[in-house]
Amino acid sequence: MRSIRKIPFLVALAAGALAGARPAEAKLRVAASIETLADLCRQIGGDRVVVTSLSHGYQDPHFVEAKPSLVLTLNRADALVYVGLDLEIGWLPPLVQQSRNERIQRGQVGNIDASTAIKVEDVPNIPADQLRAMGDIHPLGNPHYWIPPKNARGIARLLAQRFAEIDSPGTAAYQAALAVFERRLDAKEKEWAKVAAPLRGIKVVTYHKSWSYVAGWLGMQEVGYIESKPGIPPTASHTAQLIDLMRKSNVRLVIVESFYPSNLARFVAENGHARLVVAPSDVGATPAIKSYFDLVDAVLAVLTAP
Amino acid sequence: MTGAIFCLLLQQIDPAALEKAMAADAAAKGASPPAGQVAPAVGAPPIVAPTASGTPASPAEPTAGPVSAEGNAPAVAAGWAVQENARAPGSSLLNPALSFILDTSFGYYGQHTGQFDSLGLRLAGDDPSESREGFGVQEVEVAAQAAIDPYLEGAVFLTVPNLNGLEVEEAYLVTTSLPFNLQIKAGTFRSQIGRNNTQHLHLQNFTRRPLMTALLFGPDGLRGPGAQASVLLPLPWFATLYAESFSIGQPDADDLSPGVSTFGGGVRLGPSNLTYTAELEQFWAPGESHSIFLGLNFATGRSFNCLATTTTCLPVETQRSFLYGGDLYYKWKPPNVSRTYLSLQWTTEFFVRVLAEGGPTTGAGYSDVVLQFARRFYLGCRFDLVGAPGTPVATSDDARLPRRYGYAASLTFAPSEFSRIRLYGQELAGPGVPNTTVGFLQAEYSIGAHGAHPF
Repeated sequence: MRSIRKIPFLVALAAGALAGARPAEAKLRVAASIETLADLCRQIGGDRVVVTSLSHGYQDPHFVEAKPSLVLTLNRADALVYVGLDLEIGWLPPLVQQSRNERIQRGQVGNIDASTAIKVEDVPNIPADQLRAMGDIHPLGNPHYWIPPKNARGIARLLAQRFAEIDSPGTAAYQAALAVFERRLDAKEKEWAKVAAPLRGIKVVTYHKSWSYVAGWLGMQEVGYIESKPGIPPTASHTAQLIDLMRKSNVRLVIVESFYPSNLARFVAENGHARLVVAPSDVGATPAIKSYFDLVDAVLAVLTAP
Repeated sequence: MTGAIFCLLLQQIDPAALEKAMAADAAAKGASPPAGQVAPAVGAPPIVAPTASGTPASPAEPTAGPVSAEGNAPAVAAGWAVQENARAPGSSLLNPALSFILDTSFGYYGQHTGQFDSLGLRLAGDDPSESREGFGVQEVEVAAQAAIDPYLEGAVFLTVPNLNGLEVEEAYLVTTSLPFNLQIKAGTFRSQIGRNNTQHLHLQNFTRRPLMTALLFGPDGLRGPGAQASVLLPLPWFATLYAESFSIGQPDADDLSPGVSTFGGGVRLGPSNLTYTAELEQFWAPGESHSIFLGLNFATGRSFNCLATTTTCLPVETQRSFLYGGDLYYKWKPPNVSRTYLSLQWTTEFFVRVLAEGGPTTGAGYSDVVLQFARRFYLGCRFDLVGAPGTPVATSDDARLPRRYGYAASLTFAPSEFSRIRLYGQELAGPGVPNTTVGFLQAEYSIGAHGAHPF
């Protein structure tokens, strides 16, 4: 009986929390599934937004712990920005459902799927009943798309548009921030093109099929993957075949994200006469990578290192 | 009070502004779409990217997918439609996410298996099974989940336990858009009580559930037709309060065990026959690698006098039974796996049941540790304690559980996210009774949609 008497008190507490959810002058609260998206949100939102990343750049974004503490972040968010294409399928959907936050549910303006702003590649063209025989393949297409500037530009424009819809008084500010971002991106693109010129045409092997968009942007040719199939750890025979292929086709780089174990990649690189590149794939992969621009700088630096 | 607050919130909307906006919307029909959005051609997906300089971000494969008929879909719908069009051609857009899950095993049973029977526990896995040694199919499950509409999500989990009959393990709707951080769940579902009770068979780290679940909650745990209301409390840490009500059928005379085999039950008339539960779940993350989940649980339901020798189950007049318990889950898992895939989970639950007001008190619980020692390997061990407090020897007229100890170990190999192979052994011991050993080699798979992993 005592617990029943507490209910009005709890309802009042909850109401208080909701009433305080978004006063007119409050900042837009944005939750982003990865740190690169969080940074793009900050660049476009400026001081009108407060952004929280649900994962860290040194984590494998496929496998983030669906901790209930993230429910709290989502509960208070005005917008959720995520990579989509099922990258976060293993952890984000239950968090969104548990968030009890209408603003970020699918179909709402605050539910921002960044993949809608890019040209999706690697949509598997195989019968559905054979998809999983190919490993933990992403049926909607390759979700590792956020590094090439073309895609970052698309995401930034989507964010400016959506932020303005959620927070219309900030429309001019978001558009101005977008213009600044795009000007900076234009300049950086020219710089990156120069830096990356030696990479054009070289052959690479990557750990997971997560560098295809980067390879496409820089003109690198992917010839194989250390994983025998997406999400499936490599086997000895696959590794031997890969090394053989690398020697025959003169593969120059073996690229592995910093969150994968690099011992096997090192073995493959040494035996395949290629250079091992442990590359950051997200903002926050190392403490020095604080923004999208830092990330691309760092990726190109490790790819082009002598 | 809730209504009053709701009205106040509603009043923040200026009716005149709303009318003006709707008129503007109506006028805009057929006109050009909002700035920053290219008008989608009929039969082609709308494009989200603005037309400013630079490479326009085009959508995925331009299939002739569904497009908003008016051609001026609001941006939110536009974004959604593009995403839908990213699906492989030919996929059925309106089908719910479907999964089929199989749990099959090869069982070995040692001597004295009657010790499980005498507790009212069946030998095989999750659901009661009459099957004996050899091959068995613990469960075939079909899971379907989808958004019902903008306000509700729905899920259906059908199971065939032991190749026998069709069971609705869960079928419920859950709200997504209630105010005040409220959520309502309704249908038939597993109670939020404890930790193990909420989990389906294929989410568990052991082939058999802890002894406690069947002995105190019911043969297949505490579940049934009911409704649940929950609120996420406005606290700096995660804290959710659940209140549930179930209509659980009265205990089956076939499910005989010391005391009662199921919790609650009664004819489904009137609120006094319902089973009620309340749970407070809290979570803390002291540092990135550590997680602590604490549950405090309470349940009350009608009392029955189903004793081991009784052939009928009679309600104890107007009396209620009570369950009190706690569950604690600790997980250590470094977020960066580049150096190690090592992780550790430790789960402990303990529940006490008071059978009929002022009646005998009995308790059971378990503690298990699961160590992930390589990317795809898990080693688990569990200690079960039954009958604390309890009775040294089971007697037909004592509703307390006899003292038993369970020791279980399991080794799991998970080739991928979608399959697991497990070796499991369990020994049941107790004062004055011979030890009993059972063992299983279990295989488990999931085909279809990639289910998310609840914490």
